[in-house]
Amino acid sequence: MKEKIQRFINSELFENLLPVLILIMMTLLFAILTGGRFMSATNIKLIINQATVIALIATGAVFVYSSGKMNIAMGSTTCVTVMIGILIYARTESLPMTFVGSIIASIGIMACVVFLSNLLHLDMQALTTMLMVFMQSIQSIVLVKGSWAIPYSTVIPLQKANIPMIMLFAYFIIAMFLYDFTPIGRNLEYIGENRTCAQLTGIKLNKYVALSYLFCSVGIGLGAGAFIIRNASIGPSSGSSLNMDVILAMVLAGSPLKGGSKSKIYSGIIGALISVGLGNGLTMLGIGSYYIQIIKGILFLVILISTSKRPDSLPVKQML
Amino acid sequence: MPQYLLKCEDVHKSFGITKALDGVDFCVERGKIHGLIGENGSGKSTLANIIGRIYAADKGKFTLRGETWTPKSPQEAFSDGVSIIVQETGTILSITVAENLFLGRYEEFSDGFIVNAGKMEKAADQILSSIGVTSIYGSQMTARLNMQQRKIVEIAKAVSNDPDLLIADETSNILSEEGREILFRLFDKQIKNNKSVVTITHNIEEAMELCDTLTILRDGKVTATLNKEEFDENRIKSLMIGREIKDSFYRTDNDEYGEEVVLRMVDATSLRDVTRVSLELHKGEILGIGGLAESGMHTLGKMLFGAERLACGKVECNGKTVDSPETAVALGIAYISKDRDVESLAASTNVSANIAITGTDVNVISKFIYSVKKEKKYVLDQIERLKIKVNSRFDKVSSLSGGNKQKVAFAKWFARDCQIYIMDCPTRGIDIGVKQEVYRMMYQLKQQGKSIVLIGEEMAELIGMSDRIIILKEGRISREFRRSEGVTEDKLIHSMF
Repeated sequence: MKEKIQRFINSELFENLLPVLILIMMTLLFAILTGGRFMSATNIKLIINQATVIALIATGAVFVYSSGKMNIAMGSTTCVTVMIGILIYARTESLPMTFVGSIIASIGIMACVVFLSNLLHLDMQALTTMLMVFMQSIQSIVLVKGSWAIPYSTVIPLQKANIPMIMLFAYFIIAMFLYDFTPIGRNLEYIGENRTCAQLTGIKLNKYVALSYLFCSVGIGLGAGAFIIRNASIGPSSGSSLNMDVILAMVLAGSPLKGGSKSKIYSGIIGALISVGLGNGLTMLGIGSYYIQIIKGILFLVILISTSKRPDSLPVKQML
Repeated sequence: MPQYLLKCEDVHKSFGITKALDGVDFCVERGKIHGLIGENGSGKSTLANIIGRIYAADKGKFTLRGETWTPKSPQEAFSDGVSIIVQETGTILSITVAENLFLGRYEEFSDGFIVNAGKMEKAADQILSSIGVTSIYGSQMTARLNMQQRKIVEIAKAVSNDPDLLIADETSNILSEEGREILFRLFDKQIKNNKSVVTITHNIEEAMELCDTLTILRDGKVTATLNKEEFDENRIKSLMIGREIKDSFYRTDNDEYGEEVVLRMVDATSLRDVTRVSLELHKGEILGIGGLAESGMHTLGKMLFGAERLACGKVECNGKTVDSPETAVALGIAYISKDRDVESLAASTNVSANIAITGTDVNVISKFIYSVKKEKKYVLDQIERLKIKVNSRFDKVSSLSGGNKQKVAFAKWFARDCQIYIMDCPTRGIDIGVKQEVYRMMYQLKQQGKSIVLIGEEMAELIGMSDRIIILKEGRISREFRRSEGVTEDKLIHSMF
């Protein structure tokens, strides 16, 4: 019996189920501690609404992170994309144009980064770091005199129609199809496992890495659209924790930052729900927002340490 | 009465449900070289790693210099005079040679918080020159060294503490002739100083020549411990495998190959160590490439696969230029690297992912939709065909023995049914049983009209398997031999110098 349990714990099925189990356990724990308030329909709706933006961006980010690459400019790019979206609305007064323009803008930004990376042979991590600083500067400088907004009344019908949820659902289905039911996910994961070996197996590294950033940028564009629907405005410090929230969501749901075969496309959604639910539950328990950030930070560190822990010995050799 | 330096009694070790060592008794005498020999997965490396305290034994008693010995870490074992050169890569690429040599011992060169890098590099240079290495320096970045040079750094590290017991786990098979000389000189020095050596090797001839005692392991148990006067090659083989192994396992035919040229290199020069090489590979031919370690033969393999940039010249396959691994794979060329763990396999993921990765474009239902069902068949067919010993296709590659890892490296290309196979030292670090299977598979491929470029450091292998042999010397073709009884190891070696 003990051996069966051990086998199940070591199995891929358990590894896949673990984030869901954590989400269920966390929900039950907060439900008990808050006397059921955590499970109220209003609160659940609030959590889902908050998690949607993060989930959209994190779902796209899985493509990048599975290949062992990073994009730390996701939050700042989302904010600049929101600004571009609001500008488009100001010119066209068309919400569809705003959303389409946001997606095109984020794809354009990321395409420029990929192009520069290939042209200058610069690592994407270094480039996205520069991009983050650049985007944050744009947001701070342009919005220094005040927030940009579109009339809140224009987004209310979209909120009522749950458009961000529909966007997330549609994007997740497409992302899952591309990641799990085409060769893209497998190739990206293999690149994340061993880049040299992937290259010597004939995988087109540049093509797949570029594709991963493209998918990521679509998520950012959609995230920006969901942000506009939710907030209808952006200020100089809006979305400052977005990048961290996205990375935390992926890590909480078990996708390793170093990439590889443990990356899961659903980790964006599950992780966003865990991350937002955790913040929400702790707030209900009367814990201040600064302490919540500290708790999230500690949790992030604990998971990073536990997932990147060196084995006690060299790789085990089985006697076969 | 023998004077034992180390005694291991009733050693047990399991990895999950797999029993790696089952009641092993192993004693090392002072002033002797003790060989550990056995099939891949027989438990040799596990035992060596337990002695070096890289693994902890589940059960067992250890006595060092007559006293009970229970080290808690590899560092403690090292301090107690037990050094191990591990089978896998034991250096960190992103730091200097000196930093690798003194890893964990930086305080010896520190003044407060600051490590004196110059002093450490000087000490590293001294250790390297003391073992006869003059081409590697303490200040060099380890990433700049090739695999053999990195192994030499590991050897230098292992002897830097003047150990009483030096354990070399499949070290000689990675080294060139020069590297082997260094290693064997160190063995001699140990013996002269009444110290001991434990060596693990798959090369039975080498073991018989070097060792005073041989312990043979099979399925985690000691099948025999033989003294020098009891050494007999056939007996050792049957004790290892549990069945009779024929004396010769190379092909014995003189089958011709086709006239059609399937791969052509024209006047190619690499940015590294190959100069103006032209060669042709024919349909159904096994073309052997030999030379000294620095002759450029390993670079040549990568050039043929499009993985090495050419300064001039070209590589063509069926009239199309091979300029990248992507085009090579699309043209039906496979490449099996000498550096298996870095270049051939993603060891941290499972067997299925490693084999299936070559089939992502064929295991599809329509042009884009991937078929998990087809992938499963693609993988299981190869596991069965190559008799890869796994509990399931989702076993991690890192948990497999060397021979089974090599089979996975073969399987990923066999599954794709490539037409040309570039094999760089395909039998490195595998036992005679698996070797025999590899040679059989190579011959089968030849019979199917597939072509093979066999890059090898073992002369007997090149002579035994090749239709033609090209010898490289300092990056250029020195001589070509056709398959005949007149080709001898002496002739090949002579053409290398």
